[in-house]
Parts: sequence; C-alpha cells; structure tokens
Amino acid sequence: METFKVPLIVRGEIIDDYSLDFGGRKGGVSFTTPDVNKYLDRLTGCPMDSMASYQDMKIEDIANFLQELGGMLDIDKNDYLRQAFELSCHTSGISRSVLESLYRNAGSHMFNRDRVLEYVDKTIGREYLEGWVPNTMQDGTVNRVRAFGGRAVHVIAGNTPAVAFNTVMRSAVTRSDSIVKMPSNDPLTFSAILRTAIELDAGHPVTRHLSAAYWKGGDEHFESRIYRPENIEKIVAWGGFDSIKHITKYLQPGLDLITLDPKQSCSIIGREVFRDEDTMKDVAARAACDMGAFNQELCANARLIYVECDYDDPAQLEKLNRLGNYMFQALGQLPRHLSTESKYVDGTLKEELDGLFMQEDWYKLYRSSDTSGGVIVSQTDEPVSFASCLINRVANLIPLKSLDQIVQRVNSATQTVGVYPEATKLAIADRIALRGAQIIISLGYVARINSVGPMDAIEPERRMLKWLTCQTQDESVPGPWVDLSENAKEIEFEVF
Amino acid sequence: MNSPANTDAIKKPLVSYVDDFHALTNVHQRDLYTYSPQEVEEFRLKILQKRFNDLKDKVGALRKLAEIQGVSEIKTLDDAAPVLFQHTVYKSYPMPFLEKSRFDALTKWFDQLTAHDLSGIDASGCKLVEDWLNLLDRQTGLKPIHTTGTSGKLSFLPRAKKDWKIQIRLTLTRWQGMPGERDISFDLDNPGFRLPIIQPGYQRGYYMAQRLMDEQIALIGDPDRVESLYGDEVLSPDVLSLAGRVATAEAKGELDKLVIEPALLQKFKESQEKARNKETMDAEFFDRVLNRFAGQRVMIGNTVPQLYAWAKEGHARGMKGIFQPDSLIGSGGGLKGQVLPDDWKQQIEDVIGAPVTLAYGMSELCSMNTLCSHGNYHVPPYLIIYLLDEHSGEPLPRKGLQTGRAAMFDTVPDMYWGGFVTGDEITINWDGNCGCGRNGEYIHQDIRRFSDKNGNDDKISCSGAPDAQEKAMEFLMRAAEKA
Repeated sequence: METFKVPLIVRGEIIDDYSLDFGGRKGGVSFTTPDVNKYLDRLTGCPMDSMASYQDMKIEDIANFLQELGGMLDIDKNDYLRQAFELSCHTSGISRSVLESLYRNAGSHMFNRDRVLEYVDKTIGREYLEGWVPNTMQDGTVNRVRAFGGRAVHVIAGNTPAVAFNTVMRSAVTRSDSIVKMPSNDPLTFSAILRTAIELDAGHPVTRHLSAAYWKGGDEHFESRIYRPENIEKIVAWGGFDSIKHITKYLQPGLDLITLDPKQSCSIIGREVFRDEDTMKDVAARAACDMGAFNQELCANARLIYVECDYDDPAQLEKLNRLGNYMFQALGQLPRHLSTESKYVDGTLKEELDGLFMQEDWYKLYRSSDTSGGVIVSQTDEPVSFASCLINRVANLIPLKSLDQIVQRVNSATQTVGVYPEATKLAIADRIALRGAQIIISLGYVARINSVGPMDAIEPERRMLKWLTCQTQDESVPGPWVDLSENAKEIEFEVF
Repeated sequence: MNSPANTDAIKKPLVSYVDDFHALTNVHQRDLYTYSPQEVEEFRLKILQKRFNDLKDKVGALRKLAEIQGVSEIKTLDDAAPVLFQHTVYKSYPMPFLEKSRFDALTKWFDQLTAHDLSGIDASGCKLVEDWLNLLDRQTGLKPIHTTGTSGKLSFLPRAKKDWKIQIRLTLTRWQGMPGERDISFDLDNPGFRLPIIQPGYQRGYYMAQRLMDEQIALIGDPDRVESLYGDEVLSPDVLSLAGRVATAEAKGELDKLVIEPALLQKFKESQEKARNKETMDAEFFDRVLNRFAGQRVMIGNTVPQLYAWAKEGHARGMKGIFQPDSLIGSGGGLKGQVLPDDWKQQIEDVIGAPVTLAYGMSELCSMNTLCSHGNYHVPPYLIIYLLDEHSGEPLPRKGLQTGRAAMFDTVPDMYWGGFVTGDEITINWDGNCGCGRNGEYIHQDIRRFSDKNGNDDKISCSGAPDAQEKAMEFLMRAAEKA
C-alpha cells in the first residue's frame, strides 16, 4: 500500500520536508509527514497585524470566499480532494458510495454563501462580528459587545469528511487563527481544502489563518509546548475519553477547552407504532434510516431503539418481533448514497452475535450475514450486554412498558434521540433534555440534522469567539471616586 | 535420576488411544512426537468424529449450532470448522441471571454446554457465583472454571473433574525432551518424590491456574510445602464481576437501585488495598520462600511478568541460582502487554537457577503447545488446530506457512464440546521438520491478539460511549469507602 504524503501547511505555506512515518487506522495505510516539532515557532507565530485586519473583514466577503472555495472542491476536478476521497475509502468505516456522496456535496452545501450567512446570523449575529453592538442597560450603562476570533487548536474527528469542512467554515466565520490537528483516520481531507484555498488565494485572510498539522495524540513533548496560553487561547477537541483526558493535563488559566464528546444515540418509539402494519413498516423504515445512515459510523446514529411495548403480552411481543424484522428489511432498502452493507466486519461484535443463538429466549436476531447489518430484538427490557459495541448497522430493539421507563434510559451518555410520533417528541423533550439528551429530532432525520444551532448542548461557534464588553457609564452620576458620605444617595453597584 | 515414563519397547498405534485417552498421558514426548503424519491425521479425525457423534445430541449448544450451520457429520477435519464455538458462547447468558442471583436459570443455561445432566440440581439457594460453582462441584462430575473479560462479564467453562486429572498429567510432561534436549520425566502415578510448590499468585480460586494447583499438589506436591502469595485467600469471581454489574446497572439508569452485598463490597475494598500493597507483599513472599525452600528442588508456575518481577527482586538482592537446577519451572502466555528487556528469560533463569519451560495455552484448553529447544511451539497430536482466514473465517490449507486466526479442537474433554475460536493471530509451519526432532506442525513464537493488532492507535472515535468500565470502578471505590 502506498505511503501517502501529508504536508504540514502553515498559514498558506506548504511545508513538504517529510521525515516521520505513521500508520493509518483500520490497517494497511501509512503516511509520512514533516516533524511538527521543527516548526513549532512558525505554527504558533500568528501574525497579529494580519489577525487584526481579519477582524475587520465583512462576513459577507468571507461567505463569498467560502462559496468560491466550495466551487473548486469538486472531486472530479480537484486532485487533492479526489486523493483524500480515495484514501478515505480505505481508512473510513463508511462505504464508498456513501463517502462519494459526502465528498461531492460537502463543498457546495457547507460552503454555500446563503447557508453560511444563515448560520452566522442565526447563531452569532453578524453585527457582533462586524462591530461593537451597543445595549443601553437600566442603570444607564452603555454596554458595547463585540466578538473576536481567537487563536485555536482544533483536534478533529475523522469519521466523516463533514468535520473538516465544518471546521474550516466555523474558523472562517469566527475569524479565528486555527491550527488543526488532523485525524489519523482521515489525514488528507482538511489539507485538501487548505491546498485548494491556497490555489484560490494564498494571501486571503481565511487562508492565512488556517494551518494543518499532524502529530500523534499524547505526544507530550510537542503538546506541552503548543498548549500554552501564550500560544493559543482555545482548544476545540472532538474526542473520546482518552483523547480528552490527555488534553486536560495542559489546562490552565487562559486556555479554554471546548469538547465535542462522542456519545451514544437512541430512538424512542411510542406504542402508536402498532396501530397497523403500514404504520409499523413506515416507522421501521425511519428507524432503519436513523440507525443505518453513513453505515452507523457517526455518534448520531441510533444504536438502542426503545419501543413502548408490554413484553409480557404475547401479542405485543409478537408485533415487536415483526417490527424488528421490518426494520431489518428496510435496512436493505436504504438509498445507496446513504447506507450500504458494511465494508468491514467488527470482530468483537461478530463474536457476540455468533453467540446469541444460545439466548433465543432472550434475544431474537434478524440478519442475513456478517455484513448485512441486523436488528436484535430483546424479549424483555434487557439490552444486550454488548450494547456499547454496536456497529456495522446493528441495533438493539428494547421493549419497555411505559414512556416513563423509556425516559429513565436516557442519561449523560445520550446524544441524539429520534422520537416517534411527533406528539411524544414534544411531550418528553424537556424530561430527556434534563436527563442528558442533546439533540432531539423526529425519527428518521438523523441524516438531516441541521447543524445551524447548538451542538452537543453547547454553541461551539459562540464558544470559539472571545466576547468583549466595552462599557460607558452614565457620566451624569458621580463617579465611584467621589466621597458622598453626607446626604449620600445609596448607590447600587454591581460587583461579580 | 528419574524413571522414564513409557518403558514399552513397542510403540502402540496412536489410533488405539482414541478409546483410551488416559493411557496417552503416559507416552513420552519422544514417542508422542515421532508418529508419522498419517498416523496423527488418522488419530485426529477418528477422535474428532467420536466426540462429535457422542456429543451432538447431548450438548444442546452443539446441537443448535450444528443445525444452524447444516453440519450433520464429520468426514474431514475442516467439516467441524463451522461448529467451533465463539468464546462468547461461554458467556451467552443474560446478565440478570447474575445480577439477580438467578442461579437456577444459570444452571439451565449451563446445562446446554455440557453432557452432564444438571436438570436435577437445585441452585435456587445460591447467592454468590462461588456458591454455585461449589454446588456443581459437590453434586455433579463438574469442576467448572470461569474467566473474566474486560467488560466484567464472567465466562463459565464446564470442565469435568476427569478433565483436570488428564490435564495435569499432560502438563507434567512439559519438561520431557527429545534426544539432545533437557529431559525430565517420571511415572505420573508413582513419581518417587514430592516437591515444594511456589505460587506467586492465588492458590485458591476458580481460574484454571487454581484448579490445576489442587491437582498438582495431589500428584507431585505436598500440602504442607506450598507457598502462595495470597495464602488461603480465595480469588473471588463475585468480586471480579462487580465492575461489570455496575456498568450494566448504569446503562439502564438503575444505579440507584443497585444493591451490592456489604460482604462483597468489603472483599472488593480488600482486593484494592492488596493491589496497592503488592510490592510489599511480593517482597515478604520472596523472603518466606527463600527461608523455606532456597537450595531445594521446587516447582513454580506463573506468568512471565510475574516471574520476571521475581528475578528483579532476586537480582536486586544479589542472588543467583536460588533453587536446584532440576527444578520444574513453567510459564507462558506472553508478556501480557508489558515491556521487558530482550534477555528476560536468561535473567529469570539466572536468578531461579533452573530453565523455564514455556508453552502456549489458554483456559479453554486442557492441553498446551510446548516451546522446544529451537524456539517453536509444538502442537501435540491430541490437539487439532485450525487457522481461519482473518476476513472470511474459512479454514486455511494445512500446508506450508500460514498465518490466521487460531481455532482449536481440544480432544481431551469427552463431556463438552472442545471446539472453539480464539482471538489470537498465529503463524503455523504445517510442513514441520523442526530441528528439535519433533514431527508435525509447529507455531511460531510471535503470537498476538487481534484486538491489539487493529485498535487504539491515536483514536478519535465519535461513536463511542464514555468508558463504562472506568466509571464503574469509580462507583465501586466510592461505595467501598462508605462501607
């Protein structure tokens, strides 16, 4: 297998002194990169005059630049992007046809001018980026607020190319200076976008304030030097427990950590599903889509599917099993640009599924092969013991006797919850939010989660910004340095 | 010095042992490993067929799987490949059986894995896994063991008392050698000596190691001359599975309802304390052993890292050749993820004073593959190894050099199905011709787990859940503090 070259790109400059080798994930692929340690000063040397004038750039101009960039990110014409796509076909758990669709649409969709502007206006407010927004408070103070871009390191995920595109977009609209550490399971997509930006306009502020680097997570020698408040202000980390844990070692005043955690997602289906066969089939298709989109490689994909069902009633249990079977059938009917048979077989899951024949009274398994995906229907309210290993389009359908009991299963590890029917979604939204759910959607729409809006229960773009307040007090009121002991009016003051 | 095992001048045909397995344990390695490939193949096929035919209607799990896979008879070794059990079969019970102490239900489940009839066993009074294992030991021909996975879910293997008797005899042949190699062999029924036994771990418990200790002491040891690190203390399966129970409760949002018996929490607390005091305990143990057995011929069996820790302690005290050179030292199982210097074996042997015999085995096996003087693990005739293609799971050809997933058929047990798939990647030279003089295929020394090969390199996995095991341990520590 070819060794890929992953350049170090520092603010518009491509550094190709390749000297280190790393193995890619899922076996077989390796890549070579320059040694970031040699370029630490260049990486952390954000040119502050350029950063200052970047803050004065109009959002509309940035959106126009992104749209033009998006137009150049066409895998049929852009060699960098095509190479990134081909490499992803080897390293990603997502199958080729789905990846192709993702790569084809990412540029035009995520960098679309109108969409970028909608994103900024709805989540930040353009005016806060382009000037000081005055607010007169009750006590006469005029509070001017402005949002500035910061110097950031992004440790991004590689399970879908959308993350790289999203990171470029967020960094551009917040006018941050971002150093992006590329994931070993997708080392080329981000640098493909940057290389294209350089070709478009190497001197443009967006290009000049983006860097792409690779180093092995946990490399203390490098990380202890880069994660310092004199070098950076924000760390945006997409990551699991281990990855976040070793970043927290470096936290200190002046460093703001924004974590986008991986979680488990689920579906919740009310008893209305059993109304008739057509409803069961329709709901089954929606649930299959939430589970199978992008081959279940995202944290937003459902793995556990709770169904309101009295499993002690044989008639209901029989319907539940039929629902499970319909779901499995629907899995095979999903559009190929969204979901296909698995391209790899997870060994741990296979061993568990192969052992399930011993527990037929407890779990019924609907599948046709190691790669077809499948539905495990619990015959009681017990999930399978290996629920945390579900992958390759396998989900566990679990009956619970009441919605209250279902709500109990939502916890701090829950991310996306797809709910059917609509009325139930609205009825339980508050309760599951309190228990830990972060994104609540209608069943079937995981593939269309609109990322304009909060993510992981925070507002990442607002967190990436430095929000400044510039205050002017009411001059007609005596200043605090004036002693008004005699006939003094009690002056209220706010101290935090 | 020692009386040789099999003094028969005429070697019996290997196939005659199919119906008299016990007698096979008396055959010296130099005879066992010089049968022709044809004789070995004939023996293996005949015994595999015998086991399949005897067990396919008596072991429920085998009957089910054979039905699912459409296997009704064995005509070649590879015919059995589709009915080798995934290791998960041995933990294929619903967690509530343990959580709610439903040992009656667990017994019904276990009954599917063995030809022993457990239908008359009343396990409803059992509260702990330990109680249950002891009940089966008292009332049936079983003497089961458990293993512990990373998730904390226990696997149970339906070993029979008879199987242990055979296994210990086979284990004691590991110090035999081919002409030109060190050869220590003795009459297993009348060894003519009893050795002190040193166990740098648990003597009492329900893992394979502890069960074998009992047999070892009976055959070649002396109950008054055994030194173990933890003395009479029992390695409790209930404590080992605690973390798994907590994680399961958490996943169901039922952590506040989880009731852990105070006695168990206490044991858990003690085990954590011991783990913290390990270094002190190790040093004290070392002193005890030196005082009692230095200069003697001894028997020691443990993992490589444990033996190496010993060697370091001995070296630090300036000691060499503590025991007699004809001591019986056995080990295996690889470095268990630890990084040791390249000459670890030499260091151990220098301090202990006797050679260490290594072998490749596992809890699911009643036999082992011993490392020869030329650095190869030899597969005994009574073990059938399958190499499965890593991706397709199909058996690879039995010729030349092949690398794949190891699966085994253990011919020793006759009351449970000895076929299973492992998580190991091994390389076999099927053409044999090892310089040590043993016939037959051998396994190369570099063995690795598939889970180590494919994972964990700089991973950011969006679809993972927070580490349930770690959270469970934290919960238990807090609960133990309050107890």
